[in-house]
Amino acid sequence: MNVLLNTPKIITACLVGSLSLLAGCATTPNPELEKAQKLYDEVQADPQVMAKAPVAFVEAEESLTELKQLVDEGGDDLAIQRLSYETQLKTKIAREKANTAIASDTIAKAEAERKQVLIDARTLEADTRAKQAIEARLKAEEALREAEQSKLSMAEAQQSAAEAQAKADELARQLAELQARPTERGMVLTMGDVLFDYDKSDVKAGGMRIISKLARFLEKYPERNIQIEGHTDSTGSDAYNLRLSERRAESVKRALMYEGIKRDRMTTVGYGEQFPIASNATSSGRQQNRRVEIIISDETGAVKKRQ
Amino acid sequence: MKIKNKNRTLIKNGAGALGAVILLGGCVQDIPPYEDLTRSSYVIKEADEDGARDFAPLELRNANKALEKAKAALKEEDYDEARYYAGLAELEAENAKAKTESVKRQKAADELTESVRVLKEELQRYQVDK
Repeated sequence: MNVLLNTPKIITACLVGSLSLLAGCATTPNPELEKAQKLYDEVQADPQVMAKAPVAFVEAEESLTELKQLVDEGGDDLAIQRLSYETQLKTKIAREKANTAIASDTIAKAEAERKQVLIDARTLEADTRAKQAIEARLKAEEALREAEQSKLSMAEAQQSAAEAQAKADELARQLAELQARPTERGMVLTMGDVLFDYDKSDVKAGGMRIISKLARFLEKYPERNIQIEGHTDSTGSDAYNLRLSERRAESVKRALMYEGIKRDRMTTVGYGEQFPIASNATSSGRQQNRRVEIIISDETGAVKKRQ
Repeated sequence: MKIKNKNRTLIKNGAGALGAVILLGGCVQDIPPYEDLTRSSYVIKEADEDGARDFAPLELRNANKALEKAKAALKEEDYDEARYYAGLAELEAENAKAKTESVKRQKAADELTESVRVLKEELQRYQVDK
């Protein structure tokens, strides 16, 4: 197409070229050569073209050299125009081939980058998973510690319960030490005459220790009540002895109330000389008869009546 | 190509000036350049198959035009012109192929670069989230 369009121009150039030759003015720049040279210079300015498409570039270069030769030799204008066009095509091909190679490099680089990003992503994923695993393990350890803690506190509770039980047992043992003895009416604790002032109802210090222990026992077993019974020997009038036994029983009740035991858990009764446990003929027998008996109820709080 | 061009130059010069050269040119012209036409047709077909219609339509059109001229010259038994246009058609087709390949490759490079960029961005977002 270019060839056809340029035909008139070629004829003109032909005439001009002939004239130039005749005039010996060969230095006049040939426009076809200039066109090819300009495009070639542009492409050559980019060192990538020579580096990436050396064969195509050298072909373009050779074509340009040939064109120059043809112009120098005063070749005809159609031939120059055609060779110029071919040179330009070859230059363009070199440019495109270099572009292709550059794009290939870009692809290779991007491919490597993509691989790296994928590796990074996998590493990150693995790290995240590892972190989650560590967190899970820490949580599990924490749970385990808590479980052990609660087990420990349970053990502590059990221990303190056991200790409390031991204390209660100890109290019961102490109660036994107080010579509380099992009878058909239940446990009976006897406070002897020596724990009271002679002929009086006041409880001596020794008696107070027993009462204190009894109070602790009653605190421990709140379902149990007591009956306090006063007894005397046969010395003195019946009325007096009855009165003394009542007062002694009352005195013990007051002492227990003072220790914090509620009055409705305790009943008092004075029997005087009615229920001797030994002979009133001897002084040791009489001393045994002067006493206060404390009957400890069963779990329902009831005390069996004296028969 | 170099030799062909030389010949062509000689022929043109000869046609313009010396009758003696016509004999030499006549020798070349005696053989119809079927091979040249076949080769350029083949390269045009290659360019077409590569996708030149989409990526280098103007270059492909130039190649086809040159091939048509070569065929017309062949019909008129102007073998020299037929040979020239067949060679031009081949060169135009090579140019169409080169451009097609370049545009396609550049497109692929752009797409891949973009996908890597998106991937990196996503990774960064993921890292920030963690």
